[in-house]
Amino acid sequence: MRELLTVKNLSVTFSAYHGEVKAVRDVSFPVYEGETLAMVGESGCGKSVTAKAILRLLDHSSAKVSSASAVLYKGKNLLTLPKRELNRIRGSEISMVFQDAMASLNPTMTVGNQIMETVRAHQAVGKREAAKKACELLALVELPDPEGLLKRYPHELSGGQRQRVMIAMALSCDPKLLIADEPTTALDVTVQAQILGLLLKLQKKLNMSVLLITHDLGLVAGVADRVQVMYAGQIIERGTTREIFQAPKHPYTAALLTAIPRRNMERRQPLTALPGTPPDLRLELNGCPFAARCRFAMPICKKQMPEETEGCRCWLRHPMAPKVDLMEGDRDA
Amino acid sequence: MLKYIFKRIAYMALVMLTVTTITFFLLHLIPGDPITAMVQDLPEETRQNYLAAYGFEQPLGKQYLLYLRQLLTGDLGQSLRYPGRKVADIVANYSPVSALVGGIALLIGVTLGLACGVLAALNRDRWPDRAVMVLALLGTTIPTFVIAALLQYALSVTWPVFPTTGYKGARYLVLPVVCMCVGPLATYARYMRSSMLDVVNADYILTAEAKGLSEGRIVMKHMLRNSLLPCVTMLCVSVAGIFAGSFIVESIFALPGLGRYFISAISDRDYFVVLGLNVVLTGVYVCAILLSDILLMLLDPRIRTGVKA
Amino acid sequence: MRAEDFIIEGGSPASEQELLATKPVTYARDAWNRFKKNKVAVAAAILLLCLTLLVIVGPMVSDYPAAERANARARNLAPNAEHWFGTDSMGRDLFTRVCLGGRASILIGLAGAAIVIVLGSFYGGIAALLGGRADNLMMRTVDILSSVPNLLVILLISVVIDSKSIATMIFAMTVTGWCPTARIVRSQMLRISQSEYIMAARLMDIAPIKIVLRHLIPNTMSVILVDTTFRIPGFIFSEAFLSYVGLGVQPPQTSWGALAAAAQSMFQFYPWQLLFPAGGIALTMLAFTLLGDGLRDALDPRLRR
Repeated sequence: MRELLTVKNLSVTFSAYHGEVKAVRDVSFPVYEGETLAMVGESGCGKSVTAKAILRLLDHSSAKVSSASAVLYKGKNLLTLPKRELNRIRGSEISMVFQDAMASLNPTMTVGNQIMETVRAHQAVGKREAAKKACELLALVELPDPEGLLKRYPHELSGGQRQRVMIAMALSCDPKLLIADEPTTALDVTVQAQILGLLLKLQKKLNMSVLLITHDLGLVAGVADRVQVMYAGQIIERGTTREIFQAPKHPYTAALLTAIPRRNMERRQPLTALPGTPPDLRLELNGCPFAARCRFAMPICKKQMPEETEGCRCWLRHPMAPKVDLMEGDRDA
Repeated sequence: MLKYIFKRIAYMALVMLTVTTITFFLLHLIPGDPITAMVQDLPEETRQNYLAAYGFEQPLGKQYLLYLRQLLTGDLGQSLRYPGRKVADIVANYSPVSALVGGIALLIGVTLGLACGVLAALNRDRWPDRAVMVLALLGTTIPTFVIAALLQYALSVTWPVFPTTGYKGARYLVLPVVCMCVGPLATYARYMRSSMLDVVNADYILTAEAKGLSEGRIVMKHMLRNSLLPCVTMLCVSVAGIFAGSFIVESIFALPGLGRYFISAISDRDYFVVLGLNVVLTGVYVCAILLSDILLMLLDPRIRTGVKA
Repeated sequence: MRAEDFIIEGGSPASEQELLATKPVTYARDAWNRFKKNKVAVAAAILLLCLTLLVIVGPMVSDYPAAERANARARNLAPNAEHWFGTDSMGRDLFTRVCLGGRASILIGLAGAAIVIVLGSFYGGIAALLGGRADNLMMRTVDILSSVPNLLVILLISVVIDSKSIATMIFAMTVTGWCPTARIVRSQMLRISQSEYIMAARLMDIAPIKIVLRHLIPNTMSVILVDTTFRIPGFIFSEAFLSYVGLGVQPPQTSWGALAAAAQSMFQFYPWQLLFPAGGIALTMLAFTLLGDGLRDALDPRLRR
């Protein structure tokens, strides 16, 4: 598989009222052609910031991307590309879908105009042709009556319809990579499944890569090719979906998995909850950020962050560490 | 939508009626009759004649009804002090000057103010923002008469570039216009900046950026329109205000405008003129609010479809 | 790396580093900390204090009331060692006059704002609490009252009452002046009472009176406080305007507006007579506006501009 996009040593800090928040800490990963990569983690772990940093969408007055960071796409570093060239890639080769479609669509512009605007920003086509293309796109995302929809305003549509419009807009120039930032979080469960199914279908059809950002590990199972788990601004485990779900290596991933309700669970068996909260990102973290909440924490965990071995950053992987069953307790039941 | 407009018009009529009623009874609460209030030592016979002529001997309720009927026929009443001078004529004679000076000033002030607001918002927390905010702050805190006095002192006394007072040509308008546009400039700059900042931080601007639109297009197509919407109401009220004229600027620069006339009518105790002008100015103001409602409905699809539903 | 480093002991979720980071701060303390950090607002507050002190203490220093007396031999003097601000056309010490005028102006500003805020808060609060048709009726009344141009109301009332005392003027300025406050307070209270934490409090069966006292009023106070700081300069400005057109404070009393009006015609010859009272108005307005901005930022950081 060929690498489509590579994120290298990405670090982002925010200057907030209480001090510097180190939201993303030296994150590196590739996105391969045609794959679906899921980035999973709880809120505040830096997954959304990472996604926005790729397209340089962070508010430059408060967010600082370290100079060592790079986002390589077709041999170019998106983080240092001139604005003009970046705009040529944004929305056409790499596009993005956001969580809250209501807020992400301009309330005073018709759906049609917003899609046509994207088409015309990247292709030299006339108004009529752009309108035709917009119609096709709305049909592509399986919205009924595309012609009529063109003249509607976002607030006249339902939540699912709005998210479909967002997807249509993102697909308007056949992107190579679609970044979907919690695309289904704001939707009802039934609609979630529809939207996700649609995304997958379109991915196959258009042969694009999808970077799916979500906090819902359960959602990822049937969708993603690869998964990477973020915690406190770092990627702590990565692997194929099968690896992650069948044999998680990091206690955090294991804890996330045991927190998903499953069909084969005993009646009245309590769901396992993870105690505690993620660490304060204003602090410099020396040890493993998860140590405080980890069932298997060892003295070394508090002193030093382990290097990545076999896609996992955990001291349990160290030859000197005892062998433990991460899913223990859960399997007993 | 039509139903909405009719509702607004009915409401407007109610406001007008209330204002007229309150003003009417307030003015008639003044102890003594208007004639005595104006001229003290009038022979009793003449006084009675006057009272009868203006209908003052009738009961208050009847006077009120008569006045309302008179208003409905479009007659705004006439001056007590200068018999034969009709309120409608006063408005026709004096408001053009006010409208001219005020109109030019408003046009300049609003245009510059909005531009400054946009500039400040786009350069948030950098020097253009700070400069605009400091100037806007000064503009709202220094009283008009001080600006007027300083302008006169600098540009017509020290360096006699423009005439101090009077109204005999375009050159006479420069200082009053400059003086009057400071207020709107400062107000609109502050307002536009904060309205624009709301939009700049909106999610749909992020979408627009992610779509790869150029910065110019984002500002023109997405930011400007949406941040101008909240300014519409204020703008309509400002436009209504120019007909009333600026009481202070017109008296300092001796411009024959409606504002100055209003003040002189008050000090002359020319009650019918005060009443009539009050009705006219309130009417203009209320119309402006109606206009702003309709405009907003046309410009903002959220309100338009909300009304339809 | 030693073997002891690899003994599983488990983490303690509430470790010291977390506790350190989430030191609880009360809302008031947090707001106060934010306010203190805002240098401009603090400077404005200090400036206001100085101005207030000046207008209170000033006349005592300048040997009032002797300095207030007309003095034919000392008319229209320029500022000098004896008369810091010079003298006016009747030979009165301008420094004393400006201080006395400042007392009136600031007093009118404070009194006007106080009346408007109290009236408006009660009206808006009651409308919000009653809700339904009563609320509707009350707010329609406010709509109609505030449809009348503010300036016209003030002018009319001043004409009708025909007494030009400070009390009359305050009455004229506040008679419809409370309407915007009523609106602000009502909408803030409605917003809070529809918020989810009030819903939660209701579900927990907390007495309504407790909800009002614990949640509604404290959360509305910040809005009221900010409104107050913005209203005070408005009243000072209106007073200046009224005095300027001759409907305001009458001699022998004086105010900044009245002083400025008196000095206007002679500005070309004795500019300081206008500049000192006008400076008073401008500085006070500036200070209140900056203070208001600072308070708003401190009390509601989400609105930060």
